Amino acid sequence: MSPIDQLAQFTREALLAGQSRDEIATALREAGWAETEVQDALGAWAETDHIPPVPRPRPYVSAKESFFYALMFVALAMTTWHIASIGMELVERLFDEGHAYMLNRSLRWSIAAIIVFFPLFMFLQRNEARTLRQDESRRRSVVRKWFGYIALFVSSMALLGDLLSVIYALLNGDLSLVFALKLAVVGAVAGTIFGYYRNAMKDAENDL
Amino acid sequence: MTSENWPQIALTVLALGAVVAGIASVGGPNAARIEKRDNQRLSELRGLIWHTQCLARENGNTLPDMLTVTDTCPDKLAEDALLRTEGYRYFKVDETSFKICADFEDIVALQKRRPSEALDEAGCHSANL
Repeated sequence: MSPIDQLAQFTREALLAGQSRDEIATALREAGWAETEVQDALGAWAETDHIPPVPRPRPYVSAKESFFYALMFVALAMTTWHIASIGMELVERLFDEGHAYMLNRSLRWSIAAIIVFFPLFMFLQRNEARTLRQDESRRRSVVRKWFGYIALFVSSMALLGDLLSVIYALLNGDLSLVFALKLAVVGAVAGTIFGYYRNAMKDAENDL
Repeated sequence: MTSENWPQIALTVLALGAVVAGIASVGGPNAARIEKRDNQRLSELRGLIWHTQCLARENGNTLPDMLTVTDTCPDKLAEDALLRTEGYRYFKVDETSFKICADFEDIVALQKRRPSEALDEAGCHSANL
């Protein structure tokens, strides 16, 4: 049995024996447990006089949800990557006279990728929204939270990189229309992902 | 648009915009087939240029009057080459330069795709010995 399991078992048995939360916390602190560990151990049980103690809902991991959210994450990544790719190429074709064309088949590949992955993402996203409405417990999915925060991190990095590039190009005297439009494309795509996951993660519990 | 679903709407606009603008730029399946055939014609044209230069070297650095097949300079065109059936035109410009022309279906698009090629509006590729 791991120390954390021992802690959880001790807390449960102490509550079962009718000891108060303050008494249990004091005993744990005197035994050398850190304050966060004490609070976590007590926080796992609802504050009620009910015997036996009532466990609070906890985050969970599910293989099925790992598949679902990984697929959703890849669908969004493929969609946004190829939107940005097409956007930047079109900016060059429209505004840069001396631009050497990217191969048309690369552009067609990006179009095909969006046609496949964008509807898939929207389908999964609607499916997820419906499931979350029907079953609130799904909001505690650890996998959902991890993918959400990874997407937030990546989109934040893209937005910061965008801002950095604007300032650098401006200071360096290189801020052309084409460059500014390309940064706008990246900003629009990254901003959209950031906005999506910021909304999605509002309800994510922060207890894991 | 509500504050909650604006990213979904923005993503839909971006995705649809990228697909529509992308197809408008590269064209549909027919444009792709034309592109492939023109690329093949250009590739065959390059083969004919090498063939002409081979014949000239064989002839003491003199351009041939017409393109023939010799032991040293075998036929460069594949059996199913488009130019074998469609034909091509060979012109001597002067003692050291020449042009080989083919009928391209969309020469403007080809020039944009291959700006480094010495290809004019008439579908003629210029080359030197």
